[in-house]
Amino acid sequence: MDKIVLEATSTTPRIYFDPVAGYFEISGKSLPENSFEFYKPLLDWMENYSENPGMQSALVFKLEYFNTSSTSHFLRLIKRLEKLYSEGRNAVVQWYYDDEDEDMKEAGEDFKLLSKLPIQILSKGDE
Amino acid sequence: MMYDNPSISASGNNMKDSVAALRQYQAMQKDGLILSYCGTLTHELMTAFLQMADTKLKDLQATKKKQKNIINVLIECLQNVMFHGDASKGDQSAPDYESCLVALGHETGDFFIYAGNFLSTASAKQLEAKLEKMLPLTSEQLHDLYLKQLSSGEISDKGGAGLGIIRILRESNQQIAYSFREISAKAAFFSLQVRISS
Repeated sequence: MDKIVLEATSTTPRIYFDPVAGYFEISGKSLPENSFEFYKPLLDWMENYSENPGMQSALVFKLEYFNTSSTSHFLRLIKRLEKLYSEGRNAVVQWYYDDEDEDMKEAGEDFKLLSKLPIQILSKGDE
Repeated sequence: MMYDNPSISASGNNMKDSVAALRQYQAMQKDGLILSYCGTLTHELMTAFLQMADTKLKDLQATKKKQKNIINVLIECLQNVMFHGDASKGDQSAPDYESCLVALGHETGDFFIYAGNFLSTASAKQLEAKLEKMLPLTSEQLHDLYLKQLSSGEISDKGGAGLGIIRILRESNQQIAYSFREISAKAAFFSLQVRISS
């Protein structure tokens, strides 16, 4: 299974999905013109990964801005990982926020309310 | 650059040009507008508008929290007017209905976001009903609704189940005003004003 590495643009985030390390990072701005088109290949990739997952999996969000249509896709990625977790695998979500960005922190807390997966809400300042 | 109206570019009309610009300048000043766009919106133009707004807010030394609030509201407003301006569908006689207005204003510490677009009468009715239902909700109820809609997974290419509107309401502490004006039997113009205060 190949890595996915996509460089950031002014409206799409940087994507770094590494199946060997079990590390999946989404960072920057997520305002794609068509969020379904952008996230569908990532969800499919994650679906394949879950058939033969690594010892541990971490989905890491380091976002600056996102639109609400992206949030539904974030939740789908989280739910994919939640399935692994419920099967007894080691899986975690790390949601980073800027200290001054209360909304970003709350967005992470919202996902926490919607998922049984361990979701760590972390300040970028503590990185 | 090509001009549709030769009288505007003619050198003899320089004076008229500057007067029109001055009038425009004064009107924007009076309304506290710092950025405005009128016309058909594309993804590229949306990105450019957001970048200009971002720079402008930094220049005005808006707090980081306010900058985030405003950009988040702008993101949803821009996407709403871009994706939901559907009045011209099936009505070839009205190509201008794809046009919209987005503006950012600033007045005594508060920021205003204005967004306007044409909608089919049916879409306008749906949106009005949705807004009437959401506006009286408390912030906790809005939060619950947001979580419910988000977890329902109802999304499309255009966005998701009114999540954008809920976000606008939450970011502005429900300080919004709106109106629908009938333009024809098939179309209405939706005006939205969002206030981001300290």
